[in-house]
Amino acid sequence: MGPSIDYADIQGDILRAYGNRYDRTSYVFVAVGDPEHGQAWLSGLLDKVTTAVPWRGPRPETTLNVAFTHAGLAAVGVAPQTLDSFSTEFRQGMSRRAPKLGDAGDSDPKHWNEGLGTGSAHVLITINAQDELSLQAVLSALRAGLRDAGNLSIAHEEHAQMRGDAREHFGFADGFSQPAIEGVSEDKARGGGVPEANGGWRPLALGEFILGYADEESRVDSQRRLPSAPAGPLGRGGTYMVWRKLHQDVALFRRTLRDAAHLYDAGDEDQLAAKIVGRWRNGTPLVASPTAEQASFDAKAADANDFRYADVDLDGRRCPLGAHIRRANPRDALGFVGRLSFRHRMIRRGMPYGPALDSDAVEDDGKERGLVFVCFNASISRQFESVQRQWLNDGNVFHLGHDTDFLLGGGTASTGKMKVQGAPPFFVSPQGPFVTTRGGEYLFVPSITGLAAVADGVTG
Amino acid sequence: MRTSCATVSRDFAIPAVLAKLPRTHFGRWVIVPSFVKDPTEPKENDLGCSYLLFSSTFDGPLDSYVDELCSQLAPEAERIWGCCIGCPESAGRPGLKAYLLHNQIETGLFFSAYPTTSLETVKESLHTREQTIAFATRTQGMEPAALHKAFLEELRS
Repeated sequence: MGPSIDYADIQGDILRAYGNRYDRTSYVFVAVGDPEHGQAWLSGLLDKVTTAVPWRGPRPETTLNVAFTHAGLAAVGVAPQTLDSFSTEFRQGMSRRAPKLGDAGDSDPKHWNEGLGTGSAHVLITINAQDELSLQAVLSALRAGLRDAGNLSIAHEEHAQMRGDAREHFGFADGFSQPAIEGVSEDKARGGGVPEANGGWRPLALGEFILGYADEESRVDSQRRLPSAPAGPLGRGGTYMVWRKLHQDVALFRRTLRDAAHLYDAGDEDQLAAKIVGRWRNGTPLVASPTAEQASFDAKAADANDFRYADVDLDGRRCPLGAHIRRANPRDALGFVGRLSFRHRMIRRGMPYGPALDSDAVEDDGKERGLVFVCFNASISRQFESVQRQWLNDGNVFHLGHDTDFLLGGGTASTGKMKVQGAPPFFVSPQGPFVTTRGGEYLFVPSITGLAAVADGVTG
Repeated sequence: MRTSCATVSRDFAIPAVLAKLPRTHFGRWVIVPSFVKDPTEPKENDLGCSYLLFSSTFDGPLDSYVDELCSQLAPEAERIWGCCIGCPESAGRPGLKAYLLHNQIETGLFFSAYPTTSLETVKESLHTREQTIAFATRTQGMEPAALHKAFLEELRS
């Protein structure tokens, strides 16, 4: 039985997505000049924050959520001893962790968009909206509120929007495979939870994603101790958030795919694209359907992600060992059923930004486009960073040597390639800089109680 | 100890230090501040002070390996173990060797990724693997005659 979850005290969009109806997401990073003005402004926002309480009746036109960088918590007056109780990686911030994350070359923080990774982004306001009109109304009100409060300014803003085909810019359905959580999304346990030796699956503990609740380690701890969390009112009901603006070079990816497909005997361009990602463009998993996309595939179906690797595809003949989804979530592919992967899961809430590249274009149109990657986890180092460092940026654990994730791409002088298992095997190359980091922040999303404590200046 | 190890790792790149011992597959220094408390035990198992643990998986006999360690890593070794209780001060190689061997813990169980393969062979094999994959990638889709020619050129180079 799962824990009793205080939904009213947890911010929305973490445990359950607001859904595709909200096809616009705006991210506004606010710089706070002094604690007094910052606290007064936050107090005025409190009753506008959307919680995780399930909606009954019509959904609101817009939602609003609040998160803080470590510099932001200091800027709004959180006590030093409380600030010190946050995790090391959060205190350091994403830009200082860049060498560990592989953000080098064009992805180096010195090339990031203005206001990101410099310590000037303090509070992130995320607004989801069902239409442009209501979005603009909320944004106007937010800007007016900042002006009225005084000594507050906008450090950076990003406006993302779902594409008409609900796919990311490389053309793949994205974001529908999420961890299944005890007491929240147990119906998705098959494929979303932890694979077990008897063929079954079990949902993950809530504490993997929300602080102040038992996690997967508490489960085997005789005293059921809770994972480490910030001190005081910020220690329960909150979580850590990773925000990254990832530029996608769609034209380069298409050209690479087209040129490689000329040499590929085992299938066409769509087949090769599926091999790189591990899914067909509509989301059909390769493991389940290795030779063709299932037109009837329903990403929302309970069994949409119900597959494993070890039993049917240990050698990667269906889904290559280096396919993006296999590296990002190896399930049982690393052996020992799922025990080497289940502590490295995260809830993703990404959204594309920028206009789509014309569907048949293979030359860049000079427009900025990509994905705002957002994920929530209880430990940035154990979850997000481990996946990034050990699985996506290094191939060793998959017996792939130095191969990095092909889809995320290599540097400009990359000699990278991806091996597609088969008889004979096929090597996709060259690996270009398909994805470039334009900026990012590590954030903390407090509970409603925690947010009120910050606004009242009573966190320490 | 933590401070002096921090300065060591600032002054020396650890991989470069270990590279001076070409028989080393895998080596590491770890500071052990205390034993992890077992919740079922009534009281904490206190070590009294921090311990420095050095572990290494290497080719060949131990005796000559420690000799190489003391000679090849002279400045680093003195800095690293010099902050440990009982380490002879500027004792030179024989003193350090005796000190290390005196503190050696026989292990009953250890893991070696390549128990029967020397580091040199591992590196050669990796190089061959990379060359082979690079060749396969470069020649994908070639007509048989061109592939034959490229293969012979690869062998000659």
